[in-house]
Amino acid sequence: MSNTDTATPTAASPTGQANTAPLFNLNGRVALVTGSGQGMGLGAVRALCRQGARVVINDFYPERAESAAAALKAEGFSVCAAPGDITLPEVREQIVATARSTFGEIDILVNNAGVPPGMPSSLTQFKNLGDEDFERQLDLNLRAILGLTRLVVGGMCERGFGRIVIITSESWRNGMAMGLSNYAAAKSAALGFMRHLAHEVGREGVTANALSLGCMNNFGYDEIAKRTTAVGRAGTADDVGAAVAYLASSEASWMSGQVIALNGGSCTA
Amino acid sequence: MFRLDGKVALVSGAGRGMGFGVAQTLARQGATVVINDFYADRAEAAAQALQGEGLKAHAAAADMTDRSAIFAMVEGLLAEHGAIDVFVHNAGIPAQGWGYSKFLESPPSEWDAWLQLNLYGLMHACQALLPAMQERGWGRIVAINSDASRTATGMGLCAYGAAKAAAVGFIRNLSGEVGRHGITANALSLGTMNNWEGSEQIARKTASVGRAGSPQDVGAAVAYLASPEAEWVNGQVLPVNGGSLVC
Repeated sequence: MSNTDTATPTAASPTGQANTAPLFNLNGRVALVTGSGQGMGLGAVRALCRQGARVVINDFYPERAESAAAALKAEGFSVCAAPGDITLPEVREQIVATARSTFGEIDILVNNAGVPPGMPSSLTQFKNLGDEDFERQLDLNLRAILGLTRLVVGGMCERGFGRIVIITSESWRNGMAMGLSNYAAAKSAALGFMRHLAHEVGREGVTANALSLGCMNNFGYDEIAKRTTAVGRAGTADDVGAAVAYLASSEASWMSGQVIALNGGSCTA
Repeated sequence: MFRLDGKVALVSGAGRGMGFGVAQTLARQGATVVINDFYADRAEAAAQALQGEGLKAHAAAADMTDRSAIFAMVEGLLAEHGAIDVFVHNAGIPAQGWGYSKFLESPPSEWDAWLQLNLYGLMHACQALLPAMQERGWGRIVAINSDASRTATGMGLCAYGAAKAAAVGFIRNLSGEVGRHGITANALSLGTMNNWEGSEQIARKTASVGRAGSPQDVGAAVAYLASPEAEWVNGQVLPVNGGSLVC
């Protein structure tokens, strides 16, 4: 998008043709979405694909990543699977290398993976949590994001375009007695990082933002969402995908450092 | 995704500037846009410019502080188009112009001008528009707001900031009342925009993106919020400020 476009009404274009080039087009972009073999991450992948991006699907479980990639390829989208545990530095390097060799440099990093194996059945109140429980959440919801961002943000700055999106949860700001203190602490930490990163790289064409998700339809919270949201339903993978596509677009170049609540109106503070 | 074909969008204060950028973007997404402006000639010129692009645009001049004029405009548009699916309340600067007044030097009549346009204009329009939106089970309300609603600017914007903050409170509460009718109500909180002298120099220092905001930035964010795909974004204030304020 040109920053010099005028917003003053002008005479008809010489051709009289409407400029109806689609907004939020991602043709030519390469995206990596972590934890995207199913659920919200897969919604992000699908939306990015529909907007024209080529997408690398990461998941902790190889079969999920491969299965999602096969399904989307069958729909005609350009995707590849790069499974692996992103809490491990060498795996992160492999994933980025796979992306590079398959599609090229990563333009869009969507840090979606945030639910370690065993969660949510492992939810535990703070008094029963050990340091290792906090470390496990910090490994996935903070350190993996730092590690992946470190691998891609330099190239984004050199090329003058990049989008970092963090999928976070309203639990970062909304206290609950569900046993999420370790999860929420890690989610909050990532937001602190994101806001500062936005200021460090914003002048080089790179934005960093987060989507803060409310009650989603993937863990049996549909009934709760009917009562607590203004819209009257739980959030879907498509809701997440649309928001990610907007944030990843060229047109959202002036949206940076923000935490956008995607919660059906359950929390409007 | 994000198309607005078949939708009718009314944008207030859209004869130029940010509002025109919003109208242009929505029209490019397929909507039929109605350009409201206080000044009839501005509204007409803007509509003609979009028509010249091959877009579907109409003019509807009206004073957005005048309840009866707003209701008459909406009634006429509903009769002509059958629906108004998207309403963007962009008009925010009273007809008498932008006033930089330190609070102690500002007369109550000046406070009232800001409130009449930024709060009551929005509320009047919503009362005029919402019954038909509820009947159809679909609607999008977007209030163009300002970071002045939540942060000091030192520019003599006390009354403006108060009016904008009031509008945010209205939008948040409205979302809870209309959400189950397929209607969302959201706001954009704009930072330093490129429509006033000196803004670029300020934004270069304060915005992490390093530039002032453009009508296209606002238009894109509105297009997202107005889209069918943003149905689950409700009662929110999205900061579109180039990263200048990230709390």
